[in-house]
This record gives sequence, structure tokens and C-alpha cells, in this order.
Amino acid sequence: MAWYFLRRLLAAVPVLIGLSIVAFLLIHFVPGDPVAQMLGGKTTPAHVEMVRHQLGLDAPLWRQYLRFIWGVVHLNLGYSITLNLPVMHVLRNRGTATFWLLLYGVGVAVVISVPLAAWSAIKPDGWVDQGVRFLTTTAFAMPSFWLALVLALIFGLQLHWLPVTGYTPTFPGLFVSLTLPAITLGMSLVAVVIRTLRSTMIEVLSSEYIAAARARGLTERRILLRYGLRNSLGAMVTVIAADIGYLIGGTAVVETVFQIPGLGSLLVQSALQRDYTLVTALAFIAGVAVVVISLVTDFIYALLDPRVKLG
Amino acid sequence: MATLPMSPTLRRIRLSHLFRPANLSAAVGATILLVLVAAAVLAPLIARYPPNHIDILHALQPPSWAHPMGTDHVGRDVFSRVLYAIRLDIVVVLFVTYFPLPFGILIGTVAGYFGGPTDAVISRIVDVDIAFPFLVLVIAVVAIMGPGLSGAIVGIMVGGWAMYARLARGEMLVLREKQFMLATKAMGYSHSRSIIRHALPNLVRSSVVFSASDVVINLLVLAGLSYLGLGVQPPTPELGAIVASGQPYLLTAWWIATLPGLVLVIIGVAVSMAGDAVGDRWGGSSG
Amino acid sequence: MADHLSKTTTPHDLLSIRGLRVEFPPEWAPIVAIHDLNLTVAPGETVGLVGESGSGKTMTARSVIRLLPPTARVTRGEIRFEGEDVLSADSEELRRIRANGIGTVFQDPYSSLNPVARIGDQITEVLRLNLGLEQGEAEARAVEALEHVGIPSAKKRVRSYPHELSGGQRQRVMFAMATAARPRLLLADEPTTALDVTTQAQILALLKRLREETGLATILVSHDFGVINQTCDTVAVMYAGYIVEHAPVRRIYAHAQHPYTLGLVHSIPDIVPPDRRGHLSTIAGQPPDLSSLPDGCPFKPRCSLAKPECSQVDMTLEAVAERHFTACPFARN
Repeated sequence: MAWYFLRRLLAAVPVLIGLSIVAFLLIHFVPGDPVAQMLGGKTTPAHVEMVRHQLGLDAPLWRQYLRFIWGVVHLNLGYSITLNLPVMHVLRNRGTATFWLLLYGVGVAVVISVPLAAWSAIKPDGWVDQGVRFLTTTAFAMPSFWLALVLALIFGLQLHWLPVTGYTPTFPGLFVSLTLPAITLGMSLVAVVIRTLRSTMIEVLSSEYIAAARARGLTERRILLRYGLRNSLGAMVTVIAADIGYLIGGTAVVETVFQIPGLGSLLVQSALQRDYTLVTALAFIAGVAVVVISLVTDFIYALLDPRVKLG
Repeated sequence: MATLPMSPTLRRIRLSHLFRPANLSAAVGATILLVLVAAAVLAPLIARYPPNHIDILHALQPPSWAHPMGTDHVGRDVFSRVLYAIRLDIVVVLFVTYFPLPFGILIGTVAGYFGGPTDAVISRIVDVDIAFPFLVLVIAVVAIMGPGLSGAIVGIMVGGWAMYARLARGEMLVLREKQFMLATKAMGYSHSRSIIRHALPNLVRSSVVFSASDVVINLLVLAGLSYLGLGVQPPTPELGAIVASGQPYLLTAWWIATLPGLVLVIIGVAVSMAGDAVGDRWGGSSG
Repeated sequence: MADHLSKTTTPHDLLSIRGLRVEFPPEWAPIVAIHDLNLTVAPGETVGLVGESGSGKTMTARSVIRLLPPTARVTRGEIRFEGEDVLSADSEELRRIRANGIGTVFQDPYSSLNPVARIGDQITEVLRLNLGLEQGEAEARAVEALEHVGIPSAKKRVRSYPHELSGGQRQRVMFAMATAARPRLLLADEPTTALDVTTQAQILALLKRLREETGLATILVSHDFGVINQTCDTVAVMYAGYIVEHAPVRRIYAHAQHPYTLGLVHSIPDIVPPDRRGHLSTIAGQPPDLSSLPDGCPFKPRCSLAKPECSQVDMTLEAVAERHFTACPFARN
């Protein structure tokens, strides 16, 4: 078991290094002078040079990269010009909102997907199955900003059931204020999760050990839950991890629409304001998050499926 | 001259197969797409008003015969704007999806065919590209290049090629061991001949099947970027941008924000349906 | 048919199948998997079902607990287990029969166990749900059950996963699960086919021991006459969905009547020495296509004794000796 994770960890290292290189190089692709752009119009050349030196952009490339890595290790990701704060500071302020939003969004997706997928799997190609399949196709094609507006219009503005903007950091306000955003975010995941879970369950339910379980007189309910669903969870966890990237990207739009002060809306703001340091740091964090989540998922998967340990 | 027996799949790919509807949903999907493409192509003829024709007197009008989708806050006909937006979106999305596709496939194929250090290096690059959340990477590129359509196009392509490389590499690894590939080696064919004539048809399959979903994703990303102000810049009509322009008037003039979004959903559903049909016929796996 | 039944059926039969007919779609031209089958199993009796693939032997066994493929339909017949009608039982009664009355062992030990659950848990599941035992007692009994079927270091093995056991051990676990609730009838569908010869012998020995200790009746399905010979009391030979011969095992080799049975018996390498030219005798022809069977006897195309009258045979079983029946009217000793 330990070897399995050590190997996965080692395999992740080159990817992490690659991520850092790309994130680091981004700022150097800016056409023109990135520092001048970040500072906006009203500065003197002397000021620009000072800031450039402050950011270490006048050093040779390889040294800059080492400084970058050194900074990452010490949790120092640079300084945001537009916000006049260290990047880490900003991340800490806004990170929790995104974290809860993602968690809530995945939760919504799972709660919606599992029953629908199970129902579809029991009678493949039946009415329920076809209907669900159409719904997932539609959900997959829905732009999140559009869904967000529709939900906001109906449930927020017309019915006044839920708030449409803002974010309350404490329970239970957290739960309420993030409901519409979480549903919006979760929808993009629902399509993929239902499809995967359904096909895995169909496969599982037609295997020999299911017939053997029936022959032992176990109830259909038990077979569905403890055999069918339980044995398909691994696939579901895997597909969620594989698509967590889309979900993280989705926060950019969802947080902007619902005006949630999270990392996604921060990314959009800093892109609009040309704050390259912040953009770079956020992109790097996002990539690292995906890698870390993949590793965690592998761990969970190994817990669910004991056959993996031998691999 | 004796030729190598062709891989089984190559024989099956005929143009006529593409046009035979596999089932109802494929037909529906294809029809809707045809309508959309026609609308896009004929936009200048069908649209009753120029897309940027401002007419403040008639601002924020609800849908009517004169304005099937109403007017926006400066009196522009939303329907005309949507038609031109469909045109832009379809053209850009098709380009952005299918231009990198051959490069991605080629890179992945080379990685899978040669293995060893070539594979290791290429795979790491592909892994890094895929590790970045797609939208995040696109936004980062757009931030670098400046908001605008060109930034969006470059960003989407930078993020999009990697999946095709991974799929092609996977297919190639399987294919490498199959009989007819071993035969090409035995007959002394050069590497490129083996790859191009005999492996590619199989490799292309899984990528083409995936490209249908990719088209939908790229469309949503493009619309999302424009909505955020990072993609297509006003006043150019783009479906996401139109939705954004209607957001301040959501309660009073709901049609501006909701109807173009509906069009996006319809496009996405149609592409998915058509794509599923192709996917069912060709399957996701090789051979 | 009436003859066959009245001579062997007693009111105390454990299992009786009468007139069973199982069909596959399409409805307008159904593929008949089992034609009008009659079979009884007395308490403690071991009945073998032997035949080629497609003969209907597996279908017959599965019909007993209604575990047929979803598209198969039972269109006629009656199956009674301990007097209860199985075919019209509701889901709860059926569940009870499967849980407590009839145990089943499947063919492929590699796919018949839940791969993500420990084998101990799979056995205790049966004990808790079907026998109502408490968790602690069920766990103790599970260890006992494993020891009983001959799994070494049972206390440790209880925590193993199926993929950590060999094929033979997995099959033993299946036997443990099938017999844990003390059923009166065991259905064994090709229990040794997926195993090597040595393991096969061990499993058959296990089966014998279980029978002797508990008085368990068994239906053993196999395509291998050798297996049938070692373990069964009576054997029913099946072909294309019909029983073509039914006799006590000790009679079947020396006194087989039906041409198909004769062909099967003669193709066993160590029963009959090869002829002078060293050929192994085989049954000519191809297995039957169930969707287009000829009129009368389905074996006619491959039978060396075939006559024109064979197309009018109605496949009823006639007695040729004490408890020995055959469907071929032309085979005489």
C-alpha cells in the first residue's frame, strides 16, 4: 500500500515542476512591458524600474525561477500590485469561500446524480433512463453564467427564496448564501457523473456475483445498495477527480455572477486589471490543487477497491 | 505492387456512413445543427436589422413580430445580434477545436510509437497542460495577451490540444502490439509510413468522438469569456456577451439575458446528440 | 410422460418439475430452450444433468430458483419445491426459498464473489440475513464454515479478499456460502469446470462429504460424464432442451439406450480403448441450432441409427428397465 502511494507521489513531482515552470514563464510572454502595464499609465520610468527590481524581474531567468520556487516553498507567492497586498494574504482571505463553494457544489452534484444514475441503471433504455440521458445532455450544454442568471431570476428575484449575491462566512448563512451558486456549479458535474455512474452500475449489476447474491436470497434493495452502488463508487470518485479542473474553472464564472469574494472571481478581476503576479499565482495554485486532489482520489479509490493494492 | 492489408477500420470509414442517421436523436441533432449553420451562413439575409444598429426610442422592447427576441438597452434587435453571434461562435469554435486536433494527434502518436524518453518528455508536457483547469489556463493566457478574441482563441487552443495527444497516445500504445503494425515493421516500412497510413485511422476515431464534447466545452468557454469581458469585446455580438449586456436588466427585460443563453443550450444539445450518434457507431476503443 | 412420472414421483419429493417449457423471444417464432421437461429430486438424492452447451441443462437448474436471463420466459409447467409452487411464488416467498431452502454454486469462482468485500463478510451476510444470527455469532460460524469446507488458517482467511484466494479456494467459499443456511437442495452449475483436475477432485470430494453429513439433495450440472459418474445417483442426459435418457448412474455406461448417450459414453477416452487405428470416437455433426430444430427427434441429423420415422417421434420418455427411461423408441438393447 505504501509503495503504491509513493509511486504516485513521485509521478506527480514532474507535473508539479512543470506547472511551476509554466506559471513562472507566463509573465514573460506578455507583449510589451508587464511591469509598466501592471502599474497603469501614470508612472515614471524610474518608478517602473524600481518596481521591476522589487519583483526581481531584472535578474537572469534561471535566478528568477529559483526565487519563484524558493518563494513557493516558503508560501510566498509574490506581491499584488493592484491590491497592494502580498498574494498569500489575498489568497487566505478569499480562499475559504471558494473552498466551501467547491465542496458544496460537489455535494449537490453527488446528491442529484446518485439516485438518477441508480434509477437509470436498473432499467437501461427504459423511460427513466432516456429522460435522464436527455437531461444530462442538456445540463452539459448549459453555460454556467446562463444557468446562474436563470436560477437567480426565478429563485432569488421572483420568489425571494434565496439570496442572489454575497457570501456569509458563517453557518448557517454559509449554506444559504452558497446554495444557488453550488447548484449552478454542481450542474456542470452532474452530466458526467450520471453517465459514468450509470454505465458502471449497469456493468456491475450484470456481473456473476450479483446473480450469485440473488441466488442467496438477498433482497433487491440490498443488492442495489451494497453491491451495485458500493462497487460503482470508485468510478464515481475517479470521474469527479478527473473533472475537478472544470469545476475549479467554473468558480471563475459562478463567483462573478453571484458576487462571491472567492479565488475564481479574483482571477477574473486580476485578468481584467492586468495583475500578472496574481494571475500567475492563481493559475499555479489551481494546477497544484488539481494534482493534489488527484492523489487524494487515488487514495480514496484504493480504500474502496482492495484489488488496487497489488498494483 | 503488393500492399499491406489495410487495417479493418480504414475500410469502414466511408463518407456515406457519416450521413446515415443511426437513430432518432442523431437525426434531430443533425437537423438542428443544419438549421443553425444555415442561420449562421444566411445571417446577413435573414437579419432584419444590422446587429449594431442603435435605436434608443425602441429600447428594452419585449419579443414581438418585429423583434422576435426583443430589443436591448440601446434598442438593438436581439434576434439579429443572435444570428450574427451564432455565426461568430460556430466559426470560431470549429476552428479552435479542429485546428489543434491534428497536431495533438500527431504529437500523441509520436509519443506512443517511439516510447522511451520521447514519450516521457511529451507525456509530462501533456500532463502539465491537462493539470491546469481549462478555464483557468485560458483566462491566464487571455490576461497575458490582453482581452479580445485573439487572446481567447490562442488560450483555448493552448489548453485544448493536450487531450487529443493523450487519447492518440493511448490508442497508439494499444495499436503498437497489434498484428498489422508488427507486420509493417517486418516488411521494413519506415516509421512515418507505418504511422500515417496504417495507424492513423484508428487513432483518429477516439479523438473525433471526443471532439464533439470538446466543441460544446469550447463553446461554453468562449461564451463564458465574453460574458466576463475577457473574450469578444463589445460591441461585437457574441452569445455570452449579449447575455452579459442583458444582466443589469434581468428583472425588467429578461429576454436579453435568457434567450441567447437558450440558443447556446440548443447548439450544445444538438452537437452532443450528433456526437453521441457518431460515438455509438465508432465506439471509444480501438479495433 | 405420465408413465415416467408415476413410476418415480412420490408425494414426498423434494423437487418436482412438470412440463417445463422455457422460451426466448421473438414471440412469434420463439427459440425453445427447454421442451416439456419432467424431473424429480428425492430428498438426499443427487441428480446429474449432462449435455453439451445449449442442451438446456443450465437453464433447467436456473429455472428452479427463477434465475433465468431477463429475456427468457417460462411459458408452461410447474416447479414445486417442498410442495411450494416456485413459478408463481411472490418475490418474498421466492427470496425465502433461495435463502433457506435451495443453495446455489456457480460455475466461475473468479466472478461469483463480490470482489470488494472480504470473504468473511460475505459469509456472515448470509448468516445474519438468512438465519437471523447476531454479528458475533455469525462471525464465529463463518470461521467454522471455512474450516468445514477445508480452507486452511480459516481465522486469518476470513479477512481476505476474493482475489487473494486461488480458484479452488474460492469455489470452497462458494460452497460454504451456499450451504451456510442449511438448504435441503443444492444446485451446482458446473462447479468444477473452471478448475484444474486436481482441484476438481478436491471439490468433488467436498461435495460428497457435505452430502453425507447433511443429507443434502443435489442437482449437479456438467458436460463431463466423469464428474457425473463420481458423484451422482441418477443422471438425466439432455439434448436440445429435451431429456433424452434418464437412468441410475450405474446403469448408464453399460446399458445406455439412447444413441446420443451412447455417443457421449463412447467418447470418454479411458472408458473405451481407441479402435485399432487409434481414433477416438466422436459424435458426428454440429451442435443443434435451437432456432431451427427439425421435426421429431432433434438428434436425428447426427444419429447413426436415424430412420425416416424419427421425424414423427414425440420425445416422451419410455421405460426400458427399472427406473431407466429413454426417448428413443428405436433403441433396444
